Amino acid sequence: MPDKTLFKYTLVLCLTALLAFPEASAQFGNTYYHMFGVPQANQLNPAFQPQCDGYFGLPFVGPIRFEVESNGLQYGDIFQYNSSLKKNISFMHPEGNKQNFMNALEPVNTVRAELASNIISIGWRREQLFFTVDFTERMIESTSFPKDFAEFLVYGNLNQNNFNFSDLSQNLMYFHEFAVGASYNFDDEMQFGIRAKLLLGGASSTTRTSDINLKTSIDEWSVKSNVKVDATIPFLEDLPVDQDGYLDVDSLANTDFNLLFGFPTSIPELLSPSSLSTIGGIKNPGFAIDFGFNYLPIEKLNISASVIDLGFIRWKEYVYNFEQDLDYTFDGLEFKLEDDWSPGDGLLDSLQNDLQVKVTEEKFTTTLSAKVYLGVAYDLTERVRFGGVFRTRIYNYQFYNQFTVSANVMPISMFSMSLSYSYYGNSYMNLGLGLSLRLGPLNVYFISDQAPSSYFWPSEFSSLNFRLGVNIVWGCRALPKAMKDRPLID
Amino acid sequence: MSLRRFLPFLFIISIFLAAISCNDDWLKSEYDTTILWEGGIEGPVIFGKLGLKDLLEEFDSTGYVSEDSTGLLYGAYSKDTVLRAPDLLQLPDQDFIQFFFRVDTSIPGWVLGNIGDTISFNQEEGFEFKRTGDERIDSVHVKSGTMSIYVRSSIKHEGILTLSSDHIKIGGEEYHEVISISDPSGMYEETINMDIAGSTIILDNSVPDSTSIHLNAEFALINSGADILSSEEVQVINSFRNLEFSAVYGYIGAYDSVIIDRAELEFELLQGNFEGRIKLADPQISIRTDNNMGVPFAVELRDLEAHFQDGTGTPITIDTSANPIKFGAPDISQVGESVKDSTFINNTNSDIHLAATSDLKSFQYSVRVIANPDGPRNNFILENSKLSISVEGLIPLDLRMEDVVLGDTFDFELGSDPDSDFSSDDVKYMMMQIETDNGMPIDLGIQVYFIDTTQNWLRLDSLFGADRDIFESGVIDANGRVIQKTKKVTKVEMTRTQIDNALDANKILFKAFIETSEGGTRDVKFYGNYSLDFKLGTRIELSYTIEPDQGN
Repeated sequence: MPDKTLFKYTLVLCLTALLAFPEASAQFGNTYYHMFGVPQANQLNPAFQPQCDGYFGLPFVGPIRFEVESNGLQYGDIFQYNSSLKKNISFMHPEGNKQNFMNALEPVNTVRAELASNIISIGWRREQLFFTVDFTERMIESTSFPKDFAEFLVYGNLNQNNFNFSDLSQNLMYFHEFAVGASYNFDDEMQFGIRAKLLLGGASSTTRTSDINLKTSIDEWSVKSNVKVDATIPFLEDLPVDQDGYLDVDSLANTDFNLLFGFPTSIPELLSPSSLSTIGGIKNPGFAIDFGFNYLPIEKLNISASVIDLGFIRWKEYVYNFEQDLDYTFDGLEFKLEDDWSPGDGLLDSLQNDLQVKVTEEKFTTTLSAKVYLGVAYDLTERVRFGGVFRTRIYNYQFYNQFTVSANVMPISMFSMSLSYSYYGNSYMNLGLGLSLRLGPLNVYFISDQAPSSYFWPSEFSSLNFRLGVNIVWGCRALPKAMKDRPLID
Repeated sequence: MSLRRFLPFLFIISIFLAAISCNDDWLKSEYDTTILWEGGIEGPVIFGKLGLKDLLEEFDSTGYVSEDSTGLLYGAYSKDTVLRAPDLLQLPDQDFIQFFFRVDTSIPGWVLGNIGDTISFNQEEGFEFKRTGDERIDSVHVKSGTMSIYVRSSIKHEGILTLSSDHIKIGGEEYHEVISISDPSGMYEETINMDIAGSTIILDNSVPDSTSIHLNAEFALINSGADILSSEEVQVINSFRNLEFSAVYGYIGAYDSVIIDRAELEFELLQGNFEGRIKLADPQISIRTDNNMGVPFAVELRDLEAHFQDGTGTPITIDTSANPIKFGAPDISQVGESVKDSTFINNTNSDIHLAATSDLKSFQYSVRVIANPDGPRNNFILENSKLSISVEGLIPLDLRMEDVVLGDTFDFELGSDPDSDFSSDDVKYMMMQIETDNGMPIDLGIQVYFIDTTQNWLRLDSLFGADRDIFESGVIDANGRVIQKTKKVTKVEMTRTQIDNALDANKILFKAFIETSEGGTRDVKFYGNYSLDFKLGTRIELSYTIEPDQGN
């Protein structure tokens, strides 16, 4: 296949994927996919080999990354600058625009956040192989709410009587990730990399089913709901349940768990083998794999692809499955001709009887949100590279896409920079920036796909991410290692 | 290192700097977190089923609302009195003085024979048993009491005195007592007290107009050789003291007494704070007895008058055939059981209908009780026997009401919480929906007034404006009984002024305008299963501003 044809096919593939899922997209850190001077770029594509022969990331910042993203709402839908007040006001402000907020909502709106910090991040080259070892603390949280939920909060049942609160959910996953990877360089034309990850689950909360419907009228409000949540709550033992297996709310309120954020408060208890096993997530194992390639079909052109976070965690310790099945109708407070009539008590008793939560302790599995990257880059010069990356994240059987183009420069070997533009969903105003500085063995980089645009066009930004890395590097080349450029690079 | 390497970098930096310099309003500006909630809530608020019986019991704190076997409700106001056995019969103390041994002329000692000889004297005598009336008691079972025997001997001989009686049985045995007079000095004197609880005294009524008890005495004199002077004697006195019975058999006498004198039965149900007229179709008085005395009684209702709210009264005449009335009693085979009986004074045997107006306040009455009204007969009374007499004023809820207005006030302080920033201006619209299912035989008009007590109970406004909302009565049949409920849905949109006034009020006056079906022109019956079902829903639209410093 001629090189140019391959290039065209690659472009077509990227654009087709991009257009195929225009409605479902989200933002993720793409800027540093093609950036110079970032050792941990291989976290997006395990085939990538850094310019240096080795690196050692400083604990907790080698690197640390934070991402928050919304699939529908943008900052401008929530806050706007009011020139007459000279203040930023929310959509709920008397001068705000509630309808604009409501129009901006998707049928289901998700806010997702992820925090990851590398405790260990080491990479080294051995001939054609580049090895990596990472130990990362990761926490992923996502909250979804349907448009009807916002409608109810903002307007009550002024405009509509029936509300579908299905997909109201909250998911949280905290786990440790121990990853070992290797990338092999095939004659500088092709690099293939793979990384195996052992996942050790710490805590989780997963909404399996959220089917909630509310019908309102002046005569009655009725709610039908079926909610199932699987959770792993470390150190929470003997959750009080009655003989029928329902959560005993009264006992729960009086239970002294002697825990602080889920952890024992006494040091001996905390350091016991059992506690350490729980903290280490040994009994909640999982596995994930990353793999990818980087191919140089023609001189100066790179085509790459990767799949990362393809994996799962099997939760087995401190697991609880909560199921709540409610069919409740509120006709009003029942008036009774009694001296000690207390309508609130009657309502609470009624709710408590109907709002029963079944508790079981069945093991369950959660999957990671896998991502697929397709990249193409063109090296204009040895120090200037233009790249394009298409990425899709698969979550709950939906695809969240992002397309990023970037201009990457390394004017001097100790400094590199990247400017990117991303498009995802209906968000077009996304400028990203990456800066990397290498002072001797010290490498520091800061990358964000959103920070500049969120400043330039605050009303347009719907997500924010940054990645900060501090590494000790060695064996670095003055110029990027251009494959098939053997005369220049040893 | 050439300058060309930096050109892309410089280009990017210059773009950033240019952009930063012209778009920093939002970054520098403060956030105003004022929130204006302009939503609305429409939903149910309260519902209930006002059962007629529950309502009446709430309204009538004495709680004497009941229903008869057909479910018809009636108010019953009663006063009870009890006639106990001691009220009917009391046993007086008894003293039987027996001059047992006395001689008219002195007897020389030698006439009595040899010294040491025994000379016997016997005597049987009946003594009159004291009574308080014309009772003729056959036997008395003694619960408690004392029999005293006083013996005094002034003769100068020793002797043995034996007392007995088959009219006194102690422990099932005839009374038998031996007393030794061991002092021949002529100064002998002794008193013997006996607890006779559990004993039985049998009385002799064989002689007309007389009740007696028989005692026997035998005196064995042991001759000392001394003379017996005419002034000397052996005296025996039998006494019964503090007699209380556990049972008495026989005719207990004629008892005739006014045990209740001009008592008053007040009808709270008819004394509520209401206007209008209630005309009762069938007011009644009942007399109920519960008798476990073996004594028949007659009860006479006297001085019967209906008293009205204005202080006037009217006498009520009862047919002589119904007053006095005799009540049953247990017979000898029913000892320990009670017999219940009752009679009614109504419009068939009296002119009690004269009392049938809403002004009725009370009935005045006296009660006379006559025992054995048919003359002497065998009775029995146990120590705990009693006759309970209950006089009840009955108001069957078979009536007609016309222009009756009930009213009550309640605290209502939605807008007067000084800590709340909520004001009437925050309420943009308010609508209430009242849904009723009227199963009562009354047309019910409702009005709610918003009151400001700080302005001398000024009526600021009303909920239904000049009109009151009418909930029509249930459909009634020819007997005045509801056979179908009447449903109504009323929507009340409150005006701006009404909302303001409602929030300015600190009390609400709730008024109910009541008329029985067909304009109060016919009698209707109220049954215990009648109810008024109601449901209140509301739609309220707010425009409520929450300032950022609130809650600090």
